[in-house]
Amino acid sequence: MTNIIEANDVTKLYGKNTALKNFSLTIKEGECFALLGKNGAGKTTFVKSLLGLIHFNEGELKLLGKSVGDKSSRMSVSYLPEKFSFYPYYTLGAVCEFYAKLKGVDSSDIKPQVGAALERLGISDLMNKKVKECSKGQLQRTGLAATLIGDPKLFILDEPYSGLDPIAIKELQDLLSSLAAEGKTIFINSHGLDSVEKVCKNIAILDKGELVVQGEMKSLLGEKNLLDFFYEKVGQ
Amino acid sequence: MSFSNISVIFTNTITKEWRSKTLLFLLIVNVIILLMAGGFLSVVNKEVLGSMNLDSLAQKTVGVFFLIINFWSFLVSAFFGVGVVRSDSEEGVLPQLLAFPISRGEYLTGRVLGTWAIVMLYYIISLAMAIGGVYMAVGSFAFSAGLVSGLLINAIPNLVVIILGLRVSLNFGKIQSFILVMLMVFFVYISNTVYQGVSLSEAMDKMTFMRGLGFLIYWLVPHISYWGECANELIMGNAFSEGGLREATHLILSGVILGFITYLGIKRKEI
Repeated sequence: MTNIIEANDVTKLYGKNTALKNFSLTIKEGECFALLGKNGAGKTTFVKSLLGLIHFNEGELKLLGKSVGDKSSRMSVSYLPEKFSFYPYYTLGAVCEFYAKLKGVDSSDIKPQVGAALERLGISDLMNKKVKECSKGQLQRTGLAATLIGDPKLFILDEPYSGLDPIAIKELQDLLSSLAAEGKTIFINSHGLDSVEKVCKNIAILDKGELVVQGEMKSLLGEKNLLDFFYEKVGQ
Repeated sequence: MSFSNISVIFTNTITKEWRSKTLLFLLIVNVIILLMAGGFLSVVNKEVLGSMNLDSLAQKTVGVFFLIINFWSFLVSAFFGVGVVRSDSEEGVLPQLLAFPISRGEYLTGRVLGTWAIVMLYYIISLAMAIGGVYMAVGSFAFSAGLVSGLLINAIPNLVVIILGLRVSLNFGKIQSFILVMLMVFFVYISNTVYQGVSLSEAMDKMTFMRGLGFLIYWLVPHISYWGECANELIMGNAFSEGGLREATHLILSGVILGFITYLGIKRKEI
């Protein structure tokens, strides 16, 4: 299977602080992967490096086989930040249309794709509602709907469960499971262990910028649950 | 460079900026000033200058209005230049935008051109109102080819101020950036006035730190005042200022330098 994400000895420094230290990771096509770690472990730094939002100091980072410095590496990638936000006066439909245009979707396909994405997230009735009138949950669903547009191969979700109510968490888990079943690669960056345990088959744990462990969740955990395993690795 | 990416960002810039309450406020203030000036001129025309050539008066009045509009357009350029990328950053939209397959150069180009379009629209509306005001005040229509040429030429200093504002806002807050840009424009104007037509040997004579700084600004930053004066001359129906070819060459070179410095600023920015 093709490598979708490849990180080789990536180091990122913020002044004298090391955010990532010789970090290496490989994620293959079709995997549902969770990068776990405490707050400040370097998870978001890694995601931002992947998307070319920040510049790492050393190492090599590839997305879909291309260096992250090349904008075309993000061609089939959808990104959902922890707090999805947009200009307050845009309607949710217009937000998705804007995303579709930036993803290079054909103009004739924009309306159908936006409609289908909003429908899948159960918010098609909110198409004409403005961003400033939406709750956090509605906005997060809009962000998720926007990520579906353009038929991406890879979903990068930064703390996707943050601030969601239990119903929304369950719905998100179902959505991610169905995307995984469609063969999409999913990369979740999270410290919410319960939620990722139900969706992801592969995990890596990051602590103080260094990779602690990576592998298939079942074989790593054995009889333990993820919380105990996580605590054992980084809790001390 | 992808034209379609630039086009999407350009359209988005106009969509997000035209709703600005500050633009509306500036436009209203501008209208009030123009109306007051128009009313005053109307009274002067009826009571004092009844026998004066109306075409000449109309031309001069447009010149006065142009100075007012020119000043306001610098304020508007600085305001939007400072805010256009800063607001993306503050609203948390910037990382989302740059996570798309869009280069920072395309993002920057779309934002600059969109802002420029907004400022020029404001400028054209203001000028149209000034012409209307003159017509109402003195009963003569002041439209000319020089007016259109002047308008086009004044787009140059506006673009320079927008890029300066955008560059400064990458490192400073909105208010600090706005003040800094207005100070920079002021210093550029002074250096342009002091060093206009001064040879290198004359400039090197009695060189001090401040004079050196002024000289550096004169050579590195596009000559805002020259192009503003050119536009003013054309609008007033006078001949084009001297040294056009030299100034155009300088504009292209210094414009490329300013654009490159701004591009480097956004390329290196960690988001």
